[in-house]
Amino acid sequence: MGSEIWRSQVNRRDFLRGSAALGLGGAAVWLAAACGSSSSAAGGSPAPLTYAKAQIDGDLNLFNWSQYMSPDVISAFASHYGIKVNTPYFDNMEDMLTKLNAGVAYDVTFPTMDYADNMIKAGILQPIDHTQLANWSQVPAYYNDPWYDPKATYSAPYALWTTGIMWRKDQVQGLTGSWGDFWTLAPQYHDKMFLLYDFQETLGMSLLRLGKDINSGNRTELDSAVAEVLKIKSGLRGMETDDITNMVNGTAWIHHAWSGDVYQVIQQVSDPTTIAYQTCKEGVPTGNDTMVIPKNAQHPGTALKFIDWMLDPANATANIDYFGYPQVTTTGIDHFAKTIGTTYPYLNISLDQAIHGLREIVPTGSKKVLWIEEWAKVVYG
Amino acid sequence: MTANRLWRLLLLPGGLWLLLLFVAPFGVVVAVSLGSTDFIGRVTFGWHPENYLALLDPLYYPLLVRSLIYAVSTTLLCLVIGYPVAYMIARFGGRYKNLLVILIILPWFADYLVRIYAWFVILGDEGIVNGVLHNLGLAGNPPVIFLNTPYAVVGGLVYDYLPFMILPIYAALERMDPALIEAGKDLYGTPAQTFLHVTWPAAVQGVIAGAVLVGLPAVGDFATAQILGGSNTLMIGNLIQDQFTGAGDWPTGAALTIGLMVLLSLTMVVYMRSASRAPGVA
Repeated sequence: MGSEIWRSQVNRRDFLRGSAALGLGGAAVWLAAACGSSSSAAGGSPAPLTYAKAQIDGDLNLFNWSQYMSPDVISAFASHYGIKVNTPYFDNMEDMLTKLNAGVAYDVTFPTMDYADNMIKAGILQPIDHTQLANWSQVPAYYNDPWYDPKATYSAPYALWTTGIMWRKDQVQGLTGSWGDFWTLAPQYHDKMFLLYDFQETLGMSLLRLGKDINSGNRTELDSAVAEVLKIKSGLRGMETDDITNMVNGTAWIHHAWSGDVYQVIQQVSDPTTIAYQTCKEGVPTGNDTMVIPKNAQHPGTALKFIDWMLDPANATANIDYFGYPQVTTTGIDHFAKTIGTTYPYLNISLDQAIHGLREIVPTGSKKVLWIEEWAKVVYG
Repeated sequence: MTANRLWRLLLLPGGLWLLLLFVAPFGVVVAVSLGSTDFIGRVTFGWHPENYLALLDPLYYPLLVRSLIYAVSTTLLCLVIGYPVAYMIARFGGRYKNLLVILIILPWFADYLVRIYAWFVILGDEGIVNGVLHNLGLAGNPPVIFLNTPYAVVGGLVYDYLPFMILPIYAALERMDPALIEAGKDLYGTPAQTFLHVTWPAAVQGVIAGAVLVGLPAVGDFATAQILGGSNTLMIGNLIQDQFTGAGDWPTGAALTIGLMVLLSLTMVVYMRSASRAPGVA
């Protein structure tokens, strides 16, 4: 069987050859168009900024991490303005950029501060007119001119986080407030231990443990950070970013994790007292996400309305109660400190800590090549 | 002559389909594989054949070897499980033959990812199977670890590709005249001899087709290893996917894609050669 289909009367090879020629021609046209558009986007030109108007101009395409925003707050926005909100998810920052670079049109997305910095420099974001946002006054002073976005021209701050270690108190003993705990506990709990599948977090954590700069560009330092991770890697259960699912379904007992996710795990497990979290003495990676509008957004008006919606005190409060991270608004910081931050002090992040804390800066250029090369050794080694 | 022209016309929709959804995107992949990226990962087209050096990176050899081992294991397991099923349906299915074939395909009406996530729930450390084992007193704390192991990955692949083995073998056996087996027995052949000289030659083309349909996609699969596997079970497909979504390095991802396609195409050519040389099926 099977062989007959290759012997049709029509000369299939000629047919394929013809279509291949046409196809390559089509691809060439597409490439030419893509080249043209990318060259015009490069570099920030001094031309005056043109702002979108904050008025509903269609459904909203919201591109975020999964479980990183209250579905109720989103659906309230949708019904308030009588529109639909689509919520596709990304797995990590590179995934987000990949889809944006591929030309998919999203109205609002959520880069970390360092990725926002690069996206602004690349000229792929739309400016945001603060005067059109009724709740902009909620944005704390520093975030009106943060290091990654002068004059907050292109972004509004979203959530603050720290990175640390989450664990099951009923199953695991011996955590000491150090990144070294992964190494000391690995022999005993290797089948229940996860690291984050995130090159900045995992290489950064290993660098910190060795007393090095979290953003090191030194090959020797990175080599030893990688060698250290490889010592425990073969016994790791996995490297994933879904710390919530892994902890909730019991696969993980020790998880390299983000602070707010701890709160979500606490909400979802049957016995919340079994969950604990520590930040580590060698260094606490801290930062904030941002809300931005990509240049090719189809509905920038709705996007502005949505950013304003999230800055609103009542909505920020409801959102924090769901996702467990302090939102960077006056009300949000205050509400978090009084509620989750009081019940679970280890989840607290002060504005001061966020502004002056240890920043992960995504490498660019030859340093990025080095980091990706070193990360590949961790992943495939 | 008119019949031939009609055939050509009928090829048009399929040809357009191939052109738009295979040939043109393939051209883009080739172009990207020769490009470079800027500081936020946008592709700039150019002439960088050195991207293909990634194919020679010794770091990736274990992944290729692992992918081949998983794919071969998957194919063999599918054959061992699928052959008796196909044989039973073809020989003894009677008027239920079509129903049985439909039942085999039925789970595939639900999305692949949904079904893989179901395994996630079933095999989890605090999942259904461990719950049953625990209640039977067979496993306690720590639980039996199924997920994130090579067994989970190969099991997932077998689960996903099994129908592609069963169906071609069924098609081959179904066309075989059962009287041939009777004849084998009448001529005092042992069951083993009858199988070797009658049934197997009739089935072999189906087995080869099944092996190709299972083995080739299994080599390039990434979702199964991503969901059911762990950090030590990554396959070549995970490497390629990660170039796009994890490393932001499209050109390397595209170059690796082309490399894998060439490898799989060569395998396909070998199969087609052997298929056309093999004796025709009754």
